[in-house]
Amino acid sequence: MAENRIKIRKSTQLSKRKDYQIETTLHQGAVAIAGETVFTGKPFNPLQTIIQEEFAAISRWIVASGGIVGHLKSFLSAAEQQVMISSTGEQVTCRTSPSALFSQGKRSEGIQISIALIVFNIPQMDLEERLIDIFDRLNQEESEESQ
Amino acid sequence: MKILILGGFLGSGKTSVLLQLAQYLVQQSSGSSQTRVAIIENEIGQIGIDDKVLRGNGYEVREIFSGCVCCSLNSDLISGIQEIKSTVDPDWLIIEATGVAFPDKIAESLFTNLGLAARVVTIVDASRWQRIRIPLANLIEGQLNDAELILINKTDLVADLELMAVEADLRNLNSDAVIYQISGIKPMDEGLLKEIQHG
Ligand SMILES: Nc1nc2c(ncn2[C@@H]2O[C@H](COP(=O)(O)OP(=O)(O)OP(=O)(O)O)[C@@H](O)[C@H]2O)c(=O)[nH]1
Ligand SMILES: [Mg+2]
Repeated sequence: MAENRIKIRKSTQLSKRKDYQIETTLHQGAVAIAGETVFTGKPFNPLQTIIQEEFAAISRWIVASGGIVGHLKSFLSAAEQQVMISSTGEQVTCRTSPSALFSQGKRSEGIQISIALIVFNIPQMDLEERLIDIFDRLNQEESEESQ
Repeated sequence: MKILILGGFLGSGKTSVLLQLAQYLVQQSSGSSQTRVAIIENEIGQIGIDDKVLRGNGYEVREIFSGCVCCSLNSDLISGIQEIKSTVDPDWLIIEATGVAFPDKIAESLFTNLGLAARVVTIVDASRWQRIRIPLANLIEGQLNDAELILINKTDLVADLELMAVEADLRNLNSDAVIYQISGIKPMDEGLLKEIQHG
């Protein structure tokens, strides 16, 4: 039973890695894991809040596990607004700016979200799992129509 | 084409400084000819965040580079720089290194592979200096090598006494560099921008 569950978990993890385009790079002792996806019909601000909360939690977890936060960063961009979210350990900061696409009169569909976690001394698989968890939480956020 | 390499640890403020610097250089354009600035973003891995931030600020970014210029210049980057030189021929090329790169190695390889000279500016995060200085000594110290300018950033987060200690440490590690204290989220001092511009 337990074995089965592990197998299932592994295969869903694999397909999620694909959905969220998750890529891992190891360099100079750092583990860099990044992913991106586009959500349509979801409200912007709650997604931003989720990422802020997750970055704060991940920072605490990394320090508690004896790792070092390199840089946790994310960029969210939609038709009207965009925000860069970043944490280097203690605080999570956000910088919002009007979308350049918007001012150029271009349209973008949905909200494009990229997230990168660059960390030292944390096992790659654990970090990958955390990143998949963030995207899953974002995915579960209700769509605007259903609210 | 003047080449500037912006180095420094992860999250130290390279992109923040780059945005201000690029804007300054363009504003300094004289007469009818606009100063052209090309930017190369090197990030660990395939998915970049900084290129999106730059695009979001209205810059045109071409993703012609893959792979890592951390240790040596790969062929993509060399042909990319040659292409930039022959097509755009900008007045400035600013290369943002990854936070785990050794900028002096990039400069060295630009010189040996392309015969191009580059200046190194290294940014140091004052708020994290004490925390990462020992565990990541090799990387942190190596990033200061050959830096002409060292910018101690995030001074808004650190008390004066601690800043003095950081600066003293940096002096020991690189006695040749000119050291400035800045805050990348506030407008940078024009004297400093001029110093970067004119060397
Ligand atoms: N408080 C404070 N925050 C700053 C300062 N400069 C930059 N930051 C913030 O620090 C974070 C990292 O800045 P970046 O400019 O992205 O740093 P970077 O060196 O380009 O990061 P990587 O490219 O990931 O290595 C962002 O949230 C910035 O807004 C500063 O002087 N003071
Ligand atoms: Mg950057």
